Amino acid sequence: MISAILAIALGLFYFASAMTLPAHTNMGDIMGPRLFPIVVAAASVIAGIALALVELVGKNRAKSEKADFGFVKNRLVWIDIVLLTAAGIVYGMLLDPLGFTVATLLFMFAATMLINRGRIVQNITVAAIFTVAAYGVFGFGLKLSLPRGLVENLLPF
Amino acid sequence: MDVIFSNLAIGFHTALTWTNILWVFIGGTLGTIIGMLPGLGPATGVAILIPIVFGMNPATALITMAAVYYGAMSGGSRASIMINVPGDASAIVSCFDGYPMSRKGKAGTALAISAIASFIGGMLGMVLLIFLAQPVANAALRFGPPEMFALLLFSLVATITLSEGSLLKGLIAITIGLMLSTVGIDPLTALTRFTYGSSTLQDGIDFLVVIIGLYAVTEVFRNLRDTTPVNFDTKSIGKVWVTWPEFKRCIGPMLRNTPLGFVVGVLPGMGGTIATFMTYALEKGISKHPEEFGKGAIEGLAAPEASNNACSCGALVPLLTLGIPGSGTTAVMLGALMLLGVHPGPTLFTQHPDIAWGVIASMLIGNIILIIINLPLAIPLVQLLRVPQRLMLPLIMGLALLGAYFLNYSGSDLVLIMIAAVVGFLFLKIGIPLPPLVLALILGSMTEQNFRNSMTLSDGNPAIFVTNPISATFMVLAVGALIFALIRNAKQNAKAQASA
Repeated sequence: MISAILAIALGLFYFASAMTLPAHTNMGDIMGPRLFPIVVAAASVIAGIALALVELVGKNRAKSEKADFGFVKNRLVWIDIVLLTAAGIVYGMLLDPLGFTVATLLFMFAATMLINRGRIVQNITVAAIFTVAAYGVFGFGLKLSLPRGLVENLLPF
Repeated sequence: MDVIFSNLAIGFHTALTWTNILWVFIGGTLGTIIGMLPGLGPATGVAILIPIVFGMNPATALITMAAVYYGAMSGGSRASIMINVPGDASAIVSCFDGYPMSRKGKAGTALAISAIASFIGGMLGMVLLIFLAQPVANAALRFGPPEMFALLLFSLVATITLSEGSLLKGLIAITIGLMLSTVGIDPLTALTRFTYGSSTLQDGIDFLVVIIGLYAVTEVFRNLRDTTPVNFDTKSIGKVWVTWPEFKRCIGPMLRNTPLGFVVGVLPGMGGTIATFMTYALEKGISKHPEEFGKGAIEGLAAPEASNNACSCGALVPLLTLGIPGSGTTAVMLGALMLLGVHPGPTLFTQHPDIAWGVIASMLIGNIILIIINLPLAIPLVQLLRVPQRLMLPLIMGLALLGAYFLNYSGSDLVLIMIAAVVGFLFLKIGIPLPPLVLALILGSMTEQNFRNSMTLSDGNPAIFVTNPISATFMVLAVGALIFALIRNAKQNAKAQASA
């Protein structure tokens, strides 16, 4: 049911946005920039309604699987996902100001601490090895320019 | 025939350089390892290795990615055989007889036949690819906008109708992918669409970032629930070799199922999973002793392994000749190639024969390298299965995020990748499949432009899609695929009701 509502809502929102586009702009393109989006929006809404009908009145209603997010049962996994997502976003924000080494070390330590709980020494080792190896492979092997920060400016290369 | 040999000669000229051979070796080994790890398949492998192809010339990049692809395809069954956990979805079938074989102390035989069957399937699949590629590309060269649109429509429809799962949810996935593909500047009118005032959205949604999110980070999330380490005894593996009578039992099944796997691979939406299940059912059906299947029948392992690798060769036909990926992995490969400025398609064979035939020749070499890796190194490689998931997952995530960063050197892309990963994970939870979404996102812009160009050609008359014989054929195929899916769903429902 969630999928059906999502498809209908997205389709309608997208349709409304598409309607603000001009129907025609130039002679070379008689269909204009909004016809294709309108067709896609219609397909989305129709698929949503059809899915809702199948799930509501279909003969195998009992069988239609209910989405099981397991928010309660797998609470810890969900917390991990939220924290990992936050860590990833923070990593993106820190890469340029802190430089590759510090940011990557911090992120890998955070990620290993979330997934590989409790083993601090092991996690620090993994984070350090990953950072150095990635620096070697990307910075030297593949010659990509890595964001420079404190540590990188101290290095002689 | 002469043309094929001269083309292959061009290909070997590209492939037989030390750099390319080295990358085939590295790619094949990394692919085997990633494919072997439970939960991570070829698409994840190619996605997290995208940064290594930066700075490569396009031929080497494609050669490396193809090596990762078929390496992962043949590596997937290692975990099936040793610990009864498939490395990826197409290795599920390898659990059926592979694991019972290792329970009987024949793990060495199982690992060997899986490597040999992968080799035979891969090599014969390549021969089919060699003969098919040029004619398909030549035919596609004559395609105009209506033919292209009809072909793209068929590919998208086939992706949801031929694969397993709910047809409607697949359709929803496609529409979401198409919606995302229209964000940014409209290439035909230079008008900005669906950016809602955001300047970062003007360039459109970078589908490679989204793909890395969906195929690498979402996979990390999916595997978080179970990170318990596995254990097995490597002493009991035995010699990684097959005896002549064992091999003789497998020849028929391997040869029979290679063409089947190849054809399944060519069709959009039907990947290795469907190929292996079909093959297994076929072999069990025609076997003189079907009761042995599931209890360690060697042909029950050999047949799907051969068809699996033939399938990955088949999947390269639409990618290389038409520029249309039919699976998640080939979609990732297409994205990486576009980044390097190469647009696969019929012109690839005329304008860049060194790339097109280079990758084909490299796969012949790669298959030989893989069997050399897989037979003597089978035991050391399976040791990697002992590395616990809780250590592998942070590494995969770190690689994925760095890969996304290096695409545009933009930290804000990490926000997009995390959003994609979370949304992808939620979609999986509500049953919306990700491969059709990714394909629609990649093919969306091409689909729209061909649709609009066709309509302009016909002065707005949609009949152009059915009056032209080639596009009419694809339209009929699309409708046929839809009818096939509806009948199959009705049958499944009837079966479910009968058993209820």
